[in-house]
Amino acid sequence: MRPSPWSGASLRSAGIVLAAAVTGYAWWATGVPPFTVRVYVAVGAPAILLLVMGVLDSVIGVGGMAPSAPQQEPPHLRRPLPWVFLLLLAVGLEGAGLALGGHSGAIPTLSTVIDHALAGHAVRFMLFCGWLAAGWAPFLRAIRTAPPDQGRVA
Amino acid sequence: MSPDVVATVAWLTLLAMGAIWEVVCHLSGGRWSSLTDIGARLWTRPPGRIVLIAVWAFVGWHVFARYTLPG
Repeated sequence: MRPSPWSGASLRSAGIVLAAAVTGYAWWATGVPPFTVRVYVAVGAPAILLLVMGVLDSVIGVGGMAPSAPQQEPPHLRRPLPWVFLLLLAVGLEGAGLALGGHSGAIPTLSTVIDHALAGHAVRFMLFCGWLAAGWAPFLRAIRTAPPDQGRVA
Repeated sequence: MSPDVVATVAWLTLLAMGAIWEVVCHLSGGRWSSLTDIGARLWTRPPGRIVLIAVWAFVGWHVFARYTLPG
């Protein structure tokens, strides 16, 4: 077995470069005006990339889930009822807002509330970084927790 | 207090409750499932992955590509 070319300092350097690139991308993407083709591409690109990586992961086992490998037992959910309760409250509030036209002065939808926070570029940037982190977290977690003999680049 | 302020406070309360509950779940030592656990469980199967990515992409598209600045 050959030693991994990705170890120690080189892995750390790659991580720093990647983090800087993602930060730069997020700053650029949140500076593009809404309702333009450029912003649709800027927001869509990370989603398409994650979709491709997710599909590749399940086909060739990048995250330790190759079809030929034994399926990992999914983690059991323990008492998810509070999340269901919060979700139902959010759906009820959003439904009421949408029923009143979406931009109602009485019951604003979640996106109308968030619009107030999006006025500043810095806040948009931070929210965008949070959105990226939330979306990529399951994939990165799956790669990190994959057994070393399944799908890892050795 | 006007209705829109009440609704905005309700939204912010819901978001704060979600964030606090996520932290509580992480600190509970596995007694309660966090959103992270739910995401990890969905991620273990291809259909779950597609649903997760679709919901996440819709949120990003709706919030960051189609926002309207108030005023």
